[in-house]
Amino acid sequence: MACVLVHIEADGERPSAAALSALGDARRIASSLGAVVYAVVIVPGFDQGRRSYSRLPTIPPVIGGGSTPKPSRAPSVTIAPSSPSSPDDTADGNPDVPDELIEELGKGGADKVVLVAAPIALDEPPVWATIGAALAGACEELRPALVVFAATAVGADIAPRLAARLGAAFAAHCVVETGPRGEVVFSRKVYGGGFRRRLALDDLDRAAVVTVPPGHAPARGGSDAEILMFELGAKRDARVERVGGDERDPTADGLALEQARVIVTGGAGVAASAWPLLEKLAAALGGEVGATRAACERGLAPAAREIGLGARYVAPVLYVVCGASGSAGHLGAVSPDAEIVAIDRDPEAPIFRAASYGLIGSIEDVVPKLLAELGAS
Amino acid sequence: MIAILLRRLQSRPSASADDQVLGRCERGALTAALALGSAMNKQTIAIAVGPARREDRVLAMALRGGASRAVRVSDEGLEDLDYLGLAQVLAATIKWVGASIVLCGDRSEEEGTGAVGPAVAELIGAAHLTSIASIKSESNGARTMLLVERVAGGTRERFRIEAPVVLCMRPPLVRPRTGTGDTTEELTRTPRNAPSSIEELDLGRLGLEARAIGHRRGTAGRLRPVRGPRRAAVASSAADLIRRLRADHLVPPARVDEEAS
Repeated sequence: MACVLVHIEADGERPSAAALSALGDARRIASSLGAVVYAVVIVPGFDQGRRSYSRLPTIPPVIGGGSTPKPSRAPSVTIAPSSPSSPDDTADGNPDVPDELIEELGKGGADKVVLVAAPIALDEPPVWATIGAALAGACEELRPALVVFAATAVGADIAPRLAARLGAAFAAHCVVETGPRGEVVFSRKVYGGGFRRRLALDDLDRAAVVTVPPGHAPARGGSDAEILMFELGAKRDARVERVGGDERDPTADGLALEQARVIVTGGAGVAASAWPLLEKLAAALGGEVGATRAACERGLAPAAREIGLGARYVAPVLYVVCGASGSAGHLGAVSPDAEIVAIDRDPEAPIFRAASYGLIGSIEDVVPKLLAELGAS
Repeated sequence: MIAILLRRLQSRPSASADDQVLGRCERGALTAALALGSAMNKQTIAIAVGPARREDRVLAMALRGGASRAVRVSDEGLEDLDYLGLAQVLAATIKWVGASIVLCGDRSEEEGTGAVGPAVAELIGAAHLTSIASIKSESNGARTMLLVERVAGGTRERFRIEAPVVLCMRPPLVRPRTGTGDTTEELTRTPRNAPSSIEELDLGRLGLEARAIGHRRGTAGRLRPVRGPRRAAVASSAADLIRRLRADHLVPPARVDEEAS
């Protein structure tokens, strides 16, 4: 049975929305491959004194590459019974992992939840230096054919190095498609949407590591997941040491853009006097306001609101672009899944070649009419 | 020695962008590396992989900005490599020049993969961090230590990191234009050093064989132009647009009282 491994980022005591979205993608891929989904949660080191190891895990064979699973190093890897039946079980056994997290991962599509101990404090940022060795160790044990990360700052730091460690193929910010032969294809628009890079899992003779943008509906209807616990003796990279506490980033107020289902983005073609109309339109659609780099440079919006390569990636369902040309640097940071609506006075604007829907007219003229149609004028 | 990994921005495959030489992240890396080299009194060396006609403009720009040296690796068969194949070439070059601090862009503007920096770190056995906003040097006896600020996921984190290290730089935060110009542009326009010649290396000088990295071809996936020209379905009016979006369930249906009115 093939193995698809998903790294789970936690948001407090729950899996993050981005992680559940990635898990949903992994579930859909695994179902088409007949593979098992392992949701990997990194946890601060286990309480070894209270842990009793029952039996060694059954490691599934791998797909692709023809390699065979590596035997586990007993007793470093443990398998536990399915979800603990009482709070006491958790307190006594699992390393401070809430039942809800395990349950949610099971419902979200995980066949097995793997708790991997890492030398990381609860308040430390998950970067390669702190959790990379633990994740790599889990991959050595499970030999996944595919490793899926959410396309977040954590995924961006860890996924490519893990891919290099595994000698794997790597694809970032890709959407999962089905090819003509039913094969799994990772696809993303590049060069500002003029080209598409497609990586078919069937074409590879090695494992693949991918990051997938958040925003997809998590899988539902799964059942209890089996819990595995790995204590692999992973060490952190002592050359990297956090100094002081974290501060809120001044651009943090733009974080809502990353979770927004609707975004209204303004470009340099929007007059300063018309910018409040975009805010009203975003509010009427239940969304957020973004800006292109050119709009930020003109002082129309704070840098926190910039959407573009090197700034912020977004994965909304609906992306309304007002007065922007649709440059590579801008649209390259918008999920290919997003339905783009272009509003511009110039009918020849390149944005109309990237959009699904268009409306020609000035922002000052068109947006009030849209607000009226939405009952928000 | 501080190495800066650079690559000429491409507007489409095999076509350099006319209006911009470097992507934003790489411009951030170049600026930070030159400033760090100056602060630490260390040599800076710009490294690019690719043909002279494409990469020499980038390297000349780095030399004009103050880089001590510039090295270009060009050989047959380097164009189709995936992230790890390219990282193998860069890692061998970094070892060849003897750099212990490596700066690169967080991600390219063409593909935005962001994989080369971490992969280079893996191959040279260095620590790495991505999404770096600023770097300062810190003297600690014979050890080279850096204080770096990472901006990620809405927080600003600070790390002390020991060389060898690969740092992947974010672009500078966009600011409203004040007429003073972009600092990176200013830095790289101002001739600091007399541009010296660009050193050219091939795989043989790096101890690499084309065969050894050849298996990394085709692993990046297939690049296809998007069939087009695609054209948006242009709505005749605001009402028509909202009707279409509602029909496609992209906008919630109108409320009953709204419809009645």
